[in-house]
Amino acid sequence: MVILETKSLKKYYGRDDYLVKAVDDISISVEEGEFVAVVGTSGSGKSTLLHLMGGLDRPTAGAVIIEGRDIFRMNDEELAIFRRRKIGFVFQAYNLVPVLNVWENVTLPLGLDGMEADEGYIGELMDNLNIHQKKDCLPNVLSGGQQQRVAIARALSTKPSIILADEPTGNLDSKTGEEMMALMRKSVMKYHQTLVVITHDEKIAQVADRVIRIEDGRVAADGIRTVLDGSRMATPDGSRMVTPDGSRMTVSGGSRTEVGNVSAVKGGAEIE
Amino acid sequence: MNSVSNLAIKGLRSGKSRVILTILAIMLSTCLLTCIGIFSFSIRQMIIQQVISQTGDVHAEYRNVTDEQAAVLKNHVKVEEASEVMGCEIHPNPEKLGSISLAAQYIDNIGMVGLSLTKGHMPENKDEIVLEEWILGKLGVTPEPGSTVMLPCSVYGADGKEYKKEFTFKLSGVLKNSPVGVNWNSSVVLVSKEFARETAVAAKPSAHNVEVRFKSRFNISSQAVELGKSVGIMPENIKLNNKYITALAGDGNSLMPYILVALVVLFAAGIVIYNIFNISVAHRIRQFGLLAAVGATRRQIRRLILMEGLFLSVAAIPAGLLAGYFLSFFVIPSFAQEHLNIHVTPMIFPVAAAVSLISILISIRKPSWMASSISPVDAIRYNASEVTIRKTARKGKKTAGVERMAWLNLWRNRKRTIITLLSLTMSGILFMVITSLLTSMNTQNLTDMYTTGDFQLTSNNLRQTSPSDPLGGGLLDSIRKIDGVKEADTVMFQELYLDYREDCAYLPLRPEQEGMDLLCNVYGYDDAFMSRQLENITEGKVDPEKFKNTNSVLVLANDDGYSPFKPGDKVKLKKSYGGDGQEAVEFTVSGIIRKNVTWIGFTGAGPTFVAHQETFRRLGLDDRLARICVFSDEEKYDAVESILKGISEKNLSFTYVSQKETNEMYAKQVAGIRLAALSLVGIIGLIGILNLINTVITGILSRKKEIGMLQAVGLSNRQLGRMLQLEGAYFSIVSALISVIAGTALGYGFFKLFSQEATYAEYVFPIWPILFILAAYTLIQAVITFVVKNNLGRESIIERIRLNE
Repeated sequence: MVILETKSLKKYYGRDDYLVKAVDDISISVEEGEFVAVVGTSGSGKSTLLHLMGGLDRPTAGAVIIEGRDIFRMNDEELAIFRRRKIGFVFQAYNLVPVLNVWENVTLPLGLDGMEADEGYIGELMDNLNIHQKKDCLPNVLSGGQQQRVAIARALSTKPSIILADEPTGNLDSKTGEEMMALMRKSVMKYHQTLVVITHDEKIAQVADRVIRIEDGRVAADGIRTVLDGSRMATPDGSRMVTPDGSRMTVSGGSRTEVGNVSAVKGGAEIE
Repeated sequence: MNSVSNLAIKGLRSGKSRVILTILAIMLSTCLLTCIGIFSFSIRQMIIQQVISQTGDVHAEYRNVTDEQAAVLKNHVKVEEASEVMGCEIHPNPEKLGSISLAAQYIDNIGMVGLSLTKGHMPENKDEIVLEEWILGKLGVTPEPGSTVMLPCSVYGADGKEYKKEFTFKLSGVLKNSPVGVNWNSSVVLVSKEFARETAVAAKPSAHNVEVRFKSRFNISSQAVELGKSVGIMPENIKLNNKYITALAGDGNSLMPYILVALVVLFAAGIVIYNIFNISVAHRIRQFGLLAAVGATRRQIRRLILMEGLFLSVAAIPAGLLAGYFLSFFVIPSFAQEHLNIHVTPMIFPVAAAVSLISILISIRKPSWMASSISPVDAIRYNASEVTIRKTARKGKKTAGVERMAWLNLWRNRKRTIITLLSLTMSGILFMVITSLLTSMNTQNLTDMYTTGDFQLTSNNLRQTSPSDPLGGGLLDSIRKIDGVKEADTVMFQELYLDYREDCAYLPLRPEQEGMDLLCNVYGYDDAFMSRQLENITEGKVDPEKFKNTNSVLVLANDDGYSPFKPGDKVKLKKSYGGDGQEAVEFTVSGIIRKNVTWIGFTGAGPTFVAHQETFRRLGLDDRLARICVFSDEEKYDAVESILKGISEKNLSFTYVSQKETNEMYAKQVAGIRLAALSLVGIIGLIGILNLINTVITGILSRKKEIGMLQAVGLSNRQLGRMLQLEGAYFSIVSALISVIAGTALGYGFFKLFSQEATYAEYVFPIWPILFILAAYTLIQAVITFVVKNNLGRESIIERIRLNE
């Protein structure tokens, strides 16, 4: 089932000679439970795309449909409420509230919604992310990795349908980054959530179900890949491909693929 | 322009709101300093003018000088101006002038004694004379030089006896009328030196004096004594105008209130400037770190901040001086005493500017040190919004909502919060104290102190200098017969003398007065006044009938409640000063009072006594009426007023006072003081508001990114508004509460002090000021937050999150 869909999404800045097409006519759809990596060089428009998908920014044209609702038809107030209930954000710079301790930071979206935290669930979440023993700490004493885990827990606290992560490992060393991605992936699988990660780190892209490559604001490649449990893989048209042996598949670079055409790899060999 | 000042200008350009706030704070404080300077200077000038009107503006007088000594004194290099004065021993007493007294003198520099000619010249020849225009009018002489003036005088013969003689003079000039002379029924006759000298006879040598004003205003006394000695004048012939010299030197105590107010203003402004610079430095830490990394020395960075302060001062101080100058002309006349002319000395401006500048430099000293001590590494790691959180953990498993975040945010920068609270509460407390004092100034009590009844007629001839009895002769009866007069009560008054007793001196005495008779005021009350007075007895038991029929008195205790006499004591009072007790009267003290129900306007060095009018008559004291107090029916008030006004306008020998008018006059004065005090608090409050604006703006701007993130995780716009409003509300609630509690307590304390000086003060709980403070704080804060939040709303969440990335 499609949970997130963009339709001819455009975000332009400036005008005439100074017109910048940050996102230029992007139409993609993301399946429920899918782990999508959006990759691209710096300035390719991938972050803008993510912000538009999360309703943090309004597009020049086009629509973002989440669970069948066009989010830009909502007013700011409705959008804010929708966001805190349906979407979890993870940012590169963690962005924890310095005056709140770890527990309060994690449960902040619930607090904003006027809800009490489900202590069992939050405890389990923090256990999974290995931050439970730090629950009373203020962010200023946590390491970067710990802060990012708190940010991930915060994004998961409301059990959102979609998690949008913008370079979540960008400020972390590669080992911690990998751990973080593994944790995130484990969490979303456990709670059957959809994860869209923006990254320029190929290693992270390698663990995603699907990789969308953005170049100059357009989708340069959109390919299915990987399923760690070997059970399924997705294609842009929504059909599923299951690898019989559960082997890893990688998506080749943009130069060898075209939009809409799936390049999957079996046993390291390319398949068209 | 060097690179440091260049950077300073760029630094200022980057923070416009900071620049505006700082300029406003400097401007307001400089403006107030200028006003305070001008006001205190004007008051000092007024006091000096008052002294001049009493004693003249000469510094010293050398008496009994020779012509040679006079010439030396007049031409001495240290002397600014001098006038030779020679007494003339003729006493003009023409019948046409009635009781107007004339004094003949030779004065060579009339400008020095405040006189001036409107026509002609000073007398040069023996037969020449100069008179005031109004005297010429009374004498029927044309006020033109050349007119003949016939002046009957009494003169002394060689035998020292007085003879009548009429002189014929030629008018050489006309003097401008002096208001003092017209009011006091006295004038001067100016004659030539030659004439004055001729009138002197052996029996009555005329005085030959030189009055001197020195060029330098420093150490006038010793200058005068040294000059006198140097020309051989005996010390006893050197008379200093001590009152004027003291007034010129100024008295430190009288300046204290102004200095205190100035300090409060400087402190309030200093806090704001410090806070603004402190925050701005914290925000630019990366920039300073970068400067340090590229080789700027610590001194250069400190200079950079000081330069910023100086540039702002250059813009703000002149504007403040100018504003203060003009404000003085608008505000001071509205509250100052009637005759206060505004005097401005150019010195006020450099002093106000310097004080302002010094306070600015002190305020930005610490921020500049802070900026200079940042290491490049620290600067790069620095995050503005986290700077002062020192705690590492806080227990708590609550789900944080908007309210909790707002409360925690308040303490995110403890120092800034405390400084802002301090500057807000300071103006609040000041407001509470001032309004407490102002509302306690009960003008009705003040009026009651000086007037009894609706109308009061007081004789102008209380001191037995003439036998006239302006309130006698059936006036009392005719007043009582006026339709609408309910009651007319009377007071008698006489000054008597008490043999010196140290414990009886109510006023501080000069050394030469010690051991001399003490002047005591004795009041004689009728039954109505007596019954009012008997309500105020603090010691002793008084039977009204017995009091009336025996020679009993009540004694007014001094300000500390002490009375040198006890009930049962005998008091002997003499009718004349230095008298031998022949003409003495003896009273028995029957009670002590702390308050006299009426005050005639004189204060003696000794205690005040109250007796019954029967006792006055029995003892042969002055039984003329000193005062009549009239009570009228409310409905017929206007009619009674116009009749009494009519009577008093015809008769100048008593003074008419209406309680209503007096009360209105006091109320007007209090309203003026209120306006001035509230303007002062208003400006200090405005400085406090600048601080709040700065705190709210920087509090929000430094958290832009965090706010963006909060919005990303679902903080709605409405919640953001509520969070910011709550943060502000905590500020206003805390500062309003502190202001109200501390202000009310301090206000009461100051009232207690004030009421010792002003017995008319009556404490009123400042409920309106409290409500005003609560409303003002809430409203101001809400408006500031609303405006700042709205400006924030124009950016998208993304712009905020990306900040600094």
